[in-house]
Amino acid sequence: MITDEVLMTAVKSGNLDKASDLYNRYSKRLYNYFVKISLDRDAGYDMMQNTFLRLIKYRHTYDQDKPFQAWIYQIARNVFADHLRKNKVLYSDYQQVENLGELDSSESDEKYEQERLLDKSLAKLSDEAREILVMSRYQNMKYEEIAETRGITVAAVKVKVHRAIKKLRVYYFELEKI
Amino acid sequence: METEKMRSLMIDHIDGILTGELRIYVENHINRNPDAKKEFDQLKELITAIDNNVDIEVPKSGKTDFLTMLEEQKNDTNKEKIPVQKKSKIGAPRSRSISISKNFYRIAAAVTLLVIGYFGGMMLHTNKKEMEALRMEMNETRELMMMSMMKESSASGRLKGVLASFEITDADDEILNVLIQTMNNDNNINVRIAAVEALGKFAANDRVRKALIESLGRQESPAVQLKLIALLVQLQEKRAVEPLQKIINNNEVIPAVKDEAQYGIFKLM
Repeated sequence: MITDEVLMTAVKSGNLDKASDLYNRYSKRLYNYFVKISLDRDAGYDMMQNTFLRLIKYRHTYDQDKPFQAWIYQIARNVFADHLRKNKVLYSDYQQVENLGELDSSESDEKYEQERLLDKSLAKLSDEAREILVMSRYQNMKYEEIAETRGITVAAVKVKVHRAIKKLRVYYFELEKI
Repeated sequence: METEKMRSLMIDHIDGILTGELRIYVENHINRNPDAKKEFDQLKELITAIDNNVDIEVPKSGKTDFLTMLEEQKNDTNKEKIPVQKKSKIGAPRSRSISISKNFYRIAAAVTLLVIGYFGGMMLHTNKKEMEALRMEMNETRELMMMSMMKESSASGRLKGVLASFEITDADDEILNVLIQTMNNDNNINVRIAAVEALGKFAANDRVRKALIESLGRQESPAVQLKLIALLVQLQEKRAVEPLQKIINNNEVIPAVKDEAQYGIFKLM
């Protein structure tokens, strides 16, 4: 299989059609990433498309010796930061979290409730904590890979992920009691 | 050991990365200390809940929107290239590719003018009868298009088909059958909802009304149920009262839909 890096190098040198292959590989992952960190499907969709627009616009900044995944997630982080700046969204206790999963309420009640509870708890985390937790636990990225996208050490990533899980546990079981 | 450090070790244990003595140490701590055990169980439940998360699909419009953007970017890139070529030709002979494309555009413009002239002339001489025939032909084409779209394998394709039916003024039995079948059997909620809306347009036909009433008992998705209830109430269809009552009595139906059914009965009685 052609690697992401080869495809992106082709895009960089002007073969924009190759971006389509990268879209096939990354659109679902990025869409789920954005939906989970913004807790909003529509915003998640727009940010996903925006990431691919930036991939093309800023293709000349891609360094082919570096992993493509780290680069695209850096773009994704910037897109999310812009989204927060523009919307000045504060994910507070009072935020209405829409149903983000595929399940609807007629399906298994317990699973549905669990999913809702988890999303509500995620909403209570800080943006940074939610971002890093989603990368690690929902996107199943290795600590090394996360470290690369954020320019911090692997140890620092682990500390941040663990801190986020510990906070999430408190929120999750607080909300469960309600 | 600090509680925070112990919690981190518990997470490592759940992730299955602890080995040897450290693992035994953590397990002993959890087993001897009820508070630690409670925290460990909660962390485990939380991490399992996260692991159970299922990724959602990108909306069907995703690829189309992406490709549209890609085309725009390609066009922008081409536009950027032309001024560069212009700059380089100062004092140099005109580049071959530019003169070819310029000639090409000249020829294309001439051909376009000819075509416009020919059809313009034709249109002037077209009498009413011919216009009518043309209109009918367009209608037939649209219906054909719709029928083929109904057989599409993608949800967005089928949705386009259903939406095309909004344009049709007189739907024949064949079209109604396809719409009814789509409303009852399509596996995509959005397509089913669109079919309900489309059928609403042909509600003067009693067959359509009966199909809508019957569908009320079949639909399991709350979104489609709500759409049907709203439509039948709007149509003042009193025969819907019985199936609405069944919805209220059905334990599998969610409360929001039951409320709407109750309200529907109130409006219809």
